[in-house]
Amino acid sequence: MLRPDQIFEEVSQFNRRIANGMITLSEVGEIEAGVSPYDVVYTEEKVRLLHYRPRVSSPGKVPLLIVYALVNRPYMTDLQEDRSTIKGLLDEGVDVYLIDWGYPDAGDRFLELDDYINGYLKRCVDFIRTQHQLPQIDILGICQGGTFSLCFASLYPERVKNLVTMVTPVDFHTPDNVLSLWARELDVDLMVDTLGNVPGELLNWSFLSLKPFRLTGQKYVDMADILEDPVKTKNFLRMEKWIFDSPSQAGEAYRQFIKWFFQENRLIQGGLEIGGKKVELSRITMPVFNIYATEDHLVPPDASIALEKYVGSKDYTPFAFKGGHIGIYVSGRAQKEIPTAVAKWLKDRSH
Amino acid sequence: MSDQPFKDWTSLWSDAQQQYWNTLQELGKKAMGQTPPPAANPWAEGFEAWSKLLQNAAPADNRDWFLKLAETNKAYLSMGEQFWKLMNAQSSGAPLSPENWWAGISEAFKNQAGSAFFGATPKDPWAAFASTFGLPSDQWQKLYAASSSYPEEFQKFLQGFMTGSPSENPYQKFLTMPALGYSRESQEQLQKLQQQWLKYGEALQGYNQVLGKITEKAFEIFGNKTRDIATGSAPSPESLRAIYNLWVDSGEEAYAEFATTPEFTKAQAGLVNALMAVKQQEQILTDGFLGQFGLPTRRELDTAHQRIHQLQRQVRSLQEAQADSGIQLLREEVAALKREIEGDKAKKKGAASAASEPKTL
Repeated sequence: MLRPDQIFEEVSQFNRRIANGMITLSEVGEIEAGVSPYDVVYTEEKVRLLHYRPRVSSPGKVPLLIVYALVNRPYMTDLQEDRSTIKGLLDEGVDVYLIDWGYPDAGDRFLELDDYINGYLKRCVDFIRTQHQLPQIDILGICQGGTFSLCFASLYPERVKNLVTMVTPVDFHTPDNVLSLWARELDVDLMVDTLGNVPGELLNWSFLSLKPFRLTGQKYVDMADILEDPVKTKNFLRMEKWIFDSPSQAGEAYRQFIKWFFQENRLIQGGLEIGGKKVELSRITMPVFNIYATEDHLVPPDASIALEKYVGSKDYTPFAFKGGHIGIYVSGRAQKEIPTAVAKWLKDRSH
Repeated sequence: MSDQPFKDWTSLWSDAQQQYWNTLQELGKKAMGQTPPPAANPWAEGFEAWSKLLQNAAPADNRDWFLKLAETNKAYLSMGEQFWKLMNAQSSGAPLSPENWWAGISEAFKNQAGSAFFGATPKDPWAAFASTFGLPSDQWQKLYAASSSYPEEFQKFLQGFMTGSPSENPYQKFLTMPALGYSRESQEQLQKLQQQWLKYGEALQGYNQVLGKITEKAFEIFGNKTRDIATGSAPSPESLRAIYNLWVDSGEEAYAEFATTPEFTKAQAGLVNALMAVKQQEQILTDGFLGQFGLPTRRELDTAHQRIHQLQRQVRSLQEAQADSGIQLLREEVAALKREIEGDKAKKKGAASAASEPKTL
């Protein structure tokens, strides 16, 4: 059993860490993120297509386009020197492109999923195909970006050589999908008609509400433990910056995504049309590598695993990563496992 | 900024800790009835005073982090203090059984939840967990304050009228009275806004009630865990942090149990939907004011943005059609050329074979 003097000692130590942490915080400087050098090779309105500079002398001939979610910023995939999926892929000899969707403002309120998938995404894919004089390229979709990639691969299968999906929701109605349960009761028409674009803060509130005790309390108590270490503090703050760096969501695209995917689960129930074109997972016949996280609280594993049942591909490979939705990019295990697994899988299908 | 001032602050804090120690000793003496009553929460209150001083010295970029840390850790310190008092009081009396000791810890958590120090009220027990224990409703209030165009004071004023359901509320009856006269339309819009505010208040109450149930459940789970510890069927936490983590686990367990229930999902969605209804009505009124001043309204901007977007799509569609038709023309041209070449080849072949045939008389 605890003794009073133990408690006093522990609290005194805690106080000391906080006090010393103030020095760390005052000296920590700017919190930068994104470490791998790139060139912006194509722009369209707020969308930028980034081409990462290779880290090997002769990268693979078929480039890989990373399609990130609209919800957060894509620098999570290239957070810092020792935590970067992109750097890992470059080291493995993959030629990497990434779409940065930018920060929508009121002028983008009427952008629809059609604009994102049949517009920006298709034009980025076509740009890369033209540059490399290739009929097809590889695509890696992450989270919501994975859902977009599935739609794209269904609509334009002739342009996708291999498809990789990471922590991607496919079946939005699995019983453990808390976000989906919450979204089903929302009056999304009222929300979008009222707000126009949906602010990132509102989405953050939903994400933090998934585990409020840990994410809004315990995390900051635990932070005291690392405050005396400038490197660890900076890593913590970098992650914190990413969590709260949430772009607003273009209103119409948000309305469609919530209704068609979260509320009506059309990707697997059927009836999904993007820009008047029918999306069917059975049309995805290229090889598919589906990576999911076993501890994912945002996209439960079952929501991703469902892809196998609906996809038309005969070359389907699931990959279970032992970790969570964020750990899949930034944990030490992820650095060792994810880029290597993706690169090997692609290499095996490069001919 | 040099770190010298912070080193000074650090020593100030160390000195303060020494004072706290003295104060706590005094507290111990008080338990035996020998000293006058000291400050209610010397650690947490001292930390708060110290952090307020430091806020001004902290660089602007890091002030938010500091405030968040200060807020969280003040609550954590208060928790430590509660436990310290509990244990100190226990150690001054007869030795307690493990069961009673852990029952005391569990009780201390309940006291913490209801502590006025955290601004908790019986109506909103969850508020006690604003900093240390995580709080959807606290985050929500910040979000609401940031998104509302109208003064918070007015909302508070309206909350004063929140008694029972809207149908039973006398103020609600007043708001449903028909508007009359020259300003009838604007009266009606204002009435609608106030009605939406009342509905929002009701939704917030409903949401907080569900959160209150989660807190109760969390206490129950925490109580069970501490009983397991007391009986030796679970390992005993060896630090204040471990007890805090036990509480966090209990809270998350309770929250996970409720978060997927229809009661919770409806209450939460009801809160969001009610806020959207308030904001929509606010916008109608704001657009009215802007129109009166000859300024562009949100509705007009939306119309303009929508038209630009439609035009953009039409342009892209035409560009793509043009590009596609160009390719088709080229394809047709290539096919025609191929046919022409094949024809030429055939003609030449025919001519050559005719020339090679032996001539006869």
